Amino acid sequence: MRQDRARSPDEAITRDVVLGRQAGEPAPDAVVCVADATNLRQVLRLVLELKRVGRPLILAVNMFDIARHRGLEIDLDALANALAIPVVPSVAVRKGGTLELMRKLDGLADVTSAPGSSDWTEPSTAEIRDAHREADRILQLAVRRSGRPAVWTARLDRVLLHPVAGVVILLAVLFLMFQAVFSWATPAMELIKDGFAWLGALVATTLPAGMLRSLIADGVIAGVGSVLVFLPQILILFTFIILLEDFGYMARAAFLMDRVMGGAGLHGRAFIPLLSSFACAIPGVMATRVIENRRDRLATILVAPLMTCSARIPVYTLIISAFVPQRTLAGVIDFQGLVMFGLYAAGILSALGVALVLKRVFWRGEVEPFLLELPNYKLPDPKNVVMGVVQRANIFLRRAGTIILAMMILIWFLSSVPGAPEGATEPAINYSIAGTVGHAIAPVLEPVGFNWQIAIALIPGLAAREVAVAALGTVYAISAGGDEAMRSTLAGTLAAQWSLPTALALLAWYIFAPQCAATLGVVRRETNSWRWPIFLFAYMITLAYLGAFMTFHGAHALGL
Amino acid sequence: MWQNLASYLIVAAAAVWVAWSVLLPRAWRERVRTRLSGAPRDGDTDCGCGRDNA
Repeated sequence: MRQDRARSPDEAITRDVVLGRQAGEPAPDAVVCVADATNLRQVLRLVLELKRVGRPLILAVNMFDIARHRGLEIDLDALANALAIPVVPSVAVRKGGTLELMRKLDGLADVTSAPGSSDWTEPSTAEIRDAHREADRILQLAVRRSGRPAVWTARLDRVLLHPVAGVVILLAVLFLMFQAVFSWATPAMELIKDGFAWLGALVATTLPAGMLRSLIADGVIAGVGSVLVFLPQILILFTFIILLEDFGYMARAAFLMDRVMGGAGLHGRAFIPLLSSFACAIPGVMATRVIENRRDRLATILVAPLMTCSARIPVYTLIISAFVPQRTLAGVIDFQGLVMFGLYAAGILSALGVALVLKRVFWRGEVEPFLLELPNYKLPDPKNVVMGVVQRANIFLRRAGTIILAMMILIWFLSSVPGAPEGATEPAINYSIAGTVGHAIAPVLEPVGFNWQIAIALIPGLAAREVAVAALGTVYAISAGGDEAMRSTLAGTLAAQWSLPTALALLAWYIFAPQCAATLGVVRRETNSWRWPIFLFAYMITLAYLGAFMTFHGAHALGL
Repeated sequence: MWQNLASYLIVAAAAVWVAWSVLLPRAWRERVRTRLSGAPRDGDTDCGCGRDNA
């Protein structure tokens, strides 16, 4: 928030909470204004406006260490005297300043706050001009620049923000990232795969043949194991993303992408929501609150689920490892990594394409200017990186241990009951509830090349995309029955049973398919209407069907 | 026999969990939680003892 005159929904809510006008929220006892020490000018005006609200106020001058490193000398006493409020230095990513801030907050407990809502009114132009002048005066009093400012950021930006070289470097960084995901993860993935194979064998030798053994081996181990095996790839991908973010490169990537996104009619502020959507569309959709214009925000919400979220990674990597040969192009480029890069690019391009149609055809209007603060480059903090990666691992493992596990148990049940009749010649799953449902849906999906096993997997996959992989693992494990060779790897089974056009069609399906109920729920909440999640589902499922249909028949026409 | 019984119990538990966590809308879930915890409903909370009235 830069001023009390809010522009975006998140700014409006922050302002109303501070003013005590937000329904359902009590008026605050005190306000802590957290300022960037390296850019005090911008926040001082806000502090001066906040003083007019009449609540006890503390200024926390954050990133104090970086300001000092850059040669900025901030006289905290002079700042506190000039503003007539308590001022504390802080370093949010470390513990610095927390105790002092708590102590000052305790000191405010005795100060009486203005109860209820504030009678604050928007400042006039003359008042804003006065506040600017006052902020400049205080800055001159309290901030001095000593020594030479760090020049590394400027030097690096000359290259990394270059209109041509910068874009080439960004593409190269992303390309390298996906190469690493496939090249480095293999040993760890093999280890996990072997671990689950060992567990499966242990269950087979410990438990006598029966329903529970099938549930544990075919439902839990084959299903959940087929998803958990992708943990190393997800962690490598997020290590790269967190490293780049900590280094300060992600904001530069936003700057570089602004021109491309602007061409598609998206606001520059859409970059962060879209970037968040690479992890998961849910925080991405929620992050659109920073976008002021309602139509810009809606357009971003509607294209965010097209970005390749981490739940798609197991689906993509399973099909790539089953159908794309593990070889290198020109001796250096990993072919599987190249296909993964292509899938990510397809997600981004389809998001830009849909945004272009929405903003240039249906919601024509001016693109508003974009203001972005570029942080200084800094060496990534190992603790931050480790914490971020551990957090991603936790999220993935929690999903595997809750929703995926529960869904796999149900899929196993539906795939096992009722059993095959006396004298049956086909695999037992063909006679089960899931088999019957799969066969019933199969005609609808036949034109896009999907078989009845895929049809079964797509239904629980609506709860979460990666559940489809676990469902395929369970369905094929049950189909294999006692055939140990066939049970060994899901990728091997798929390679033997699917045609290449079917595999490519499923990849195309997953680029577009709205297979995530939670995302639709969040879109409903954020837009406060059922119209937009229904529209989102309808356009994405149409694109998925058309994309899979064209890919399947195109691949056939090419003789693949 | 015991394997069948254990399997059905596990399947029932998974079904209840999916129904509760995935299928039931959040608002309904909150309503059920509130009922079970015996907390007062929305309309009953304004006792006039809020901080602003203190």
